[in-house]
Amino acid sequence: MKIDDAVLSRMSRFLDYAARRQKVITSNLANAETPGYKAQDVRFEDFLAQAEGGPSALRKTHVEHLSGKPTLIREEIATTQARDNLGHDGNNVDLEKELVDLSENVLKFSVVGRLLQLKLQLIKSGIKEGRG
Amino acid sequence: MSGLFSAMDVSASALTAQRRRLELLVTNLANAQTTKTPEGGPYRRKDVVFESQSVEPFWKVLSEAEQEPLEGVHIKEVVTDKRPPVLVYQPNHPDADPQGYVAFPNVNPMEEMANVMAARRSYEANVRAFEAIRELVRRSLEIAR
Repeated sequence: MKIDDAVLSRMSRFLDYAARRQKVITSNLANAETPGYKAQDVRFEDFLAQAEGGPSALRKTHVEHLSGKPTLIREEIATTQARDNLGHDGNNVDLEKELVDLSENVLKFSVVGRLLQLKLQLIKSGIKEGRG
Repeated sequence: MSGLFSAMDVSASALTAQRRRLELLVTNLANAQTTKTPEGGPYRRKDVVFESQSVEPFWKVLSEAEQEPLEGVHIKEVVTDKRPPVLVYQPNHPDADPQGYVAFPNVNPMEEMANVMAARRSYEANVRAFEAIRELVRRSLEIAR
């Protein structure tokens, strides 16, 4: 059994991602009634690509693209949610969607966190040759 | 993970902003019939304008790594409603004008109650966000055990 395997690093990356997403959702909820505020989100694929230096890591297709940090998808949401924009103040935060995302994110974090914990316990047990 | 602590500040900023908004809404309701104010004339309803505000990352002092600032919220200003007072014919009222009309505040209790509900809902949503962050931190600590 390799200790430093891909699954382990994937899981810890996912936890990083979930923490990042948590911050984004928190900002959206805090600004649910701020005029002109646009909802944002972050995708795991993008996050992973940035973190692992995959092929899309440093590819810039737009002058305003930032490199080295996971991209926040703001414009995309702005377009997909434009039709649902009920407010006249330019704010497109959907409170229900954010609350659902929030619960989902906590659950996913808990599940992956628990799996990671179990995997670490397995490694520990291997080191101790099954004793203790 | 460290950034989660600054996310707590984001929730806290929203809770403060919503609570201040609630205070103003309650003041509006309480003064729905007030015809005398220190500035003269009837009470005029007040409302808030929110503005997003970046929150300093919590570990900035400890970490060299650049972190994106998070967007919290604060009350940019308290605005006075420009709607004119409502004139009611009450010749016996001490504040009646020579024609017998009294200027009552431009406060509509229904409207205020609707705003109170919105503020409450926002407050609750931010409490939930705060609880979620606490849960994540708790879970992270469990992994290390």
